[in-house]
Amino acid sequence: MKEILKIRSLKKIVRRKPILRDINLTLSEGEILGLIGPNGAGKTTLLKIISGSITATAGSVQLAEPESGIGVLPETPALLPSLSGFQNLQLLASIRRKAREQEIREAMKTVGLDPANRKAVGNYSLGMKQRLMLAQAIMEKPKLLLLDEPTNGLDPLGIIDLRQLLFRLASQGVGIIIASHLLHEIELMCHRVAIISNGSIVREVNLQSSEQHLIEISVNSRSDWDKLVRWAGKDNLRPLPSKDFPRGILNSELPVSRVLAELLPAGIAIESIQRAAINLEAIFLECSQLKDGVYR
Amino acid sequence: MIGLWWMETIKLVFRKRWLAVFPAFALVAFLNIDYLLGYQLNYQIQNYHLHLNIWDGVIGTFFNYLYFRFVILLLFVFLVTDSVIGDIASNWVWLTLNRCSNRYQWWTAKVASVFTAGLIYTLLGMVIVFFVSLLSLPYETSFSRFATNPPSFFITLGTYVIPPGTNPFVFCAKLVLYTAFAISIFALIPVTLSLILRKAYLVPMIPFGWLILSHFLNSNRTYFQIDIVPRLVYGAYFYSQVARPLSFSISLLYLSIVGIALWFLGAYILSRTDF
Repeated sequence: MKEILKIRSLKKIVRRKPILRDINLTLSEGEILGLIGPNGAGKTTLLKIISGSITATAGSVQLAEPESGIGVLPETPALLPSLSGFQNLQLLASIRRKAREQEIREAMKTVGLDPANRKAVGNYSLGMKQRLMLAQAIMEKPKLLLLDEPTNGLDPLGIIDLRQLLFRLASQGVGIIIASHLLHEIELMCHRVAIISNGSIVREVNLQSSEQHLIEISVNSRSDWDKLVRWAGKDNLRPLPSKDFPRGILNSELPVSRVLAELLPAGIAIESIQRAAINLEAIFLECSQLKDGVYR
Repeated sequence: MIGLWWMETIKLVFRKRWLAVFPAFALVAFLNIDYLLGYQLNYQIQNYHLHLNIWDGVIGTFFNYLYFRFVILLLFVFLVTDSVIGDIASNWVWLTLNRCSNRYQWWTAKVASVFTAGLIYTLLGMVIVFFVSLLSLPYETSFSRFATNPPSFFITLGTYVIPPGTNPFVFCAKLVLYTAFAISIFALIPVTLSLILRKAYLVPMIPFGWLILSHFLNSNRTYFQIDIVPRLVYGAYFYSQVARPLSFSISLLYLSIVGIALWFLGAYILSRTDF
């Protein structure tokens, strides 16, 4: 796959405080990359540097096809409240003059909005505004899309529509970067995930990888959990937040049946056990651990 | 570039706050007419057998430096001063800057939109003042004798004297163009500074403070009196004890230099600004 975005040694320092540190990232055609990280980790700053709203202190951002432009979806909808949705898009399209009326109408229909709706955007629901923002991002058919919290304000149907739209755009060769807090959505939408913490990419996870040795397991009580930790070894068992039974991810190359066969005789009361896909939540927690009571 | 300028102008002008233009211009026109009619009733004017017409209402409103300074000019500043701050706060700047080929193009469109808004504002104001004046003063196709040949005591008060034979329509057209240019240059000062300050409440305070200071420190220091437009452009027709009038060409040059300097300052700030 052809690389459409290459970020090399990117740094951003504001008032002597490093916001981004040595970011290296690539994005290929048709790839959906998720950016996750705690608040203030630098996700939005990275997206703004890629789009040119913020200048980098050092490093480079190379676009394979800069002339095709970048579609941007900010975290909060930025629209002119007194104009209709179509008029808003017309105004934005008038800058590049790449999208004609027909393309604007198509983009609005794609996100489930009626181009003939004359209602002022100020009267739109948050979900409708978000759909309109998505329409402005895709109407000029850019090769790169930067989406900052794209599911904000969308109802469940809107989220499903968004997911399908992103898959369709990716299949047409559009590279997409999504910054989000919703780990589950990122898991469902993205091919690859970069975890940002304190301005650095601390881990990249390929969600399509088939070489997984993870087993999700929950036990009946705290004492069972302690026994399980002793059996597996502390490094091979990552706890997960749970509201009822102690739960965790076991890193083991053993098949599930073999694990069961070893745990039951050891007197560990197992509530559930199954082969797990990559657990983004667990990885994220591991990468964003608290240090001295505050986020790293 | 034209598309960007058009978009910025639409965004700047089509806002509810522009409805304030109607009561503001109507108010200053009423105040001015009330003032003029008071003089008309005064025995001294009766004695000179002078009468007023609609153009006294129009020109008098724009030439009254108090109304001009504290209503017309300040209102325009209020209407356009958040041009940059609003874009940053709403993330709109992310959508537009991303579509521009460079930041200078974006800044040029911003500056041009302020000038266009200035022209629309002044034209609209002139029309409002014209119709309000029409309610109280008779319509004529030439300036009144009060405007062309005022009593000598009136000149010492610091008012205008229009050369006889001047076409009022041409004069008003020139007044609209020049006023639009001057108020736009003045409004560009807070707009440019807003690239750094980014505080919606602070930026309009700058021109307001400037106007207060220039009002109380009134002198011949013209650079401090950028707001006193009539004294600059129609200096030849204007008599004042407190400010030295400038010729039309020098005032245009002065304002142009200030405008160009502000564009360069904005472009420099912009090259180092993060949105």
